[in-house]
Amino acid sequence: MGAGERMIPELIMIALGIVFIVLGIKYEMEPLLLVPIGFAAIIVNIPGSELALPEGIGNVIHWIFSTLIATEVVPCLIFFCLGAMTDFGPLISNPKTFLIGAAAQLGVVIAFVLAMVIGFTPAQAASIGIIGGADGPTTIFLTTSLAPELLGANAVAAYSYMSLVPLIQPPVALALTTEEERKIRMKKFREVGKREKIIFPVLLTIVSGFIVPAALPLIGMFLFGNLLRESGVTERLSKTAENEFMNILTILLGLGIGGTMMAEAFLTVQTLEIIALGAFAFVCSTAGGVLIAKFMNLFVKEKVNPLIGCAGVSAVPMSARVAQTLASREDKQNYILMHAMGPNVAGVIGTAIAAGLFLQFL
Amino acid sequence: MNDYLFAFVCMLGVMAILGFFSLVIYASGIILSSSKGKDKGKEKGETEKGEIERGEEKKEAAVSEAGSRGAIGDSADEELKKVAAIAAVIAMAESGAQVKAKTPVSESRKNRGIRARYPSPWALVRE
Repeated sequence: MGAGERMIPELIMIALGIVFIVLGIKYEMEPLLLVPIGFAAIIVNIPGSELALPEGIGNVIHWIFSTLIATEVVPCLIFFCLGAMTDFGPLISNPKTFLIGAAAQLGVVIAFVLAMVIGFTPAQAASIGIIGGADGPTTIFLTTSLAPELLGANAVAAYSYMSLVPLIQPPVALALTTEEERKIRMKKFREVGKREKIIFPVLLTIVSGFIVPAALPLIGMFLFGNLLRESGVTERLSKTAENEFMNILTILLGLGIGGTMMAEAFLTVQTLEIIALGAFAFVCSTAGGVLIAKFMNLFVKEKVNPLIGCAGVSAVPMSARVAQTLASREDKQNYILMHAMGPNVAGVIGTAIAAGLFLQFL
Repeated sequence: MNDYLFAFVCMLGVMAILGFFSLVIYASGIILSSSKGKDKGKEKGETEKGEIERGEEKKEAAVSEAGSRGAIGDSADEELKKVAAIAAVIAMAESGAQVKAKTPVSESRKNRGIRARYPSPWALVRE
């Protein structure tokens, strides 16, 4: 084999890196992540590059990965920052939307089963299944613990599907709902008091910590960030978490994940299987959320617009926006965005709980 | 445990745990909203009581000030009563104006959903 032929896998990865950068810049698909991931994929695949090698010279990307990502520090800190950015008001005012967030984990379980059928180990299957939750940090957290060898493919799949939310979800939601259902207007939810918003993160941390302690690194940090936001006396800290700290972590995460996309590890059949399973998981999760919302309508007096079921996956706030866009196509005066934010944040908690259960029992 | 059975149990587990969270939030919401109602009533009572007390304090201050002035003249007693009565009216009117300053000035504005941040100075003068 000639030198040129040996370089083909690296060249493919460099081309993939360029595609990510183009998707990020031109089409604005998750640019904050796809641009650093794409750039890191390019620089680690240039022949002779030692940035991602353990013994390499100036191996900054390896250091970022081994010190911050492989130790699960960055995913947990990202959850902390997300907590500082999240308003739990819609969820607290309408707690039944927790069930939509739970049902949207259907894709996680189906992909887990399918991955085992294909031949992945239960630990690997769990790390692939969690892609269906559409939660990047949780996917990285679980994969690092259970199947670190799949980290690059899983992370890329998770973030790719998050950026493809506006393309993947509408056909599923439209296929599962009728025009009348999409026109359902939901009543304005009640105002949630400051005291409730402060008690919520503390109470939920204690309850979830006792039930699924393995989920505490994610849920605990998420709710701690939210407590800083809602307490009203730590504004400086919550503003830092929302802005500068989150931005720093995003850069480190993008570079670290892009650094795992080295040709010999990434260009495998396994990667293609993971990407296919991830897509299927994502579709099933969307369907799970929509179907449970329809099911709830059989029993509740105040009907729920089933489109908010789309938002049961954790892609905050893209999936809630998708629900709003679909609803306003049928009725321009129908505003369900804030209602969709309830299942959206419930989905984040649901995916973290699912990851905790996998960690606890596998 | 069989891995496939585990998958099923896992789904049920997530549903059960989030369903439980939902119940916890419902329960805490009910408890908090009932205590909030009590607090609101208590707060309203305290505000009204405070306004009455402030009116009384102003009245007392006006009376003592008028008393110190009146002591200079001969018909102190009559003067004192007159001044005290006027001071009490002014104090009550002032507390009323303060309360009104926080509410919309006119019904038409209120109907349009516009809250007036600052009442017109003329409204205060009229008060």
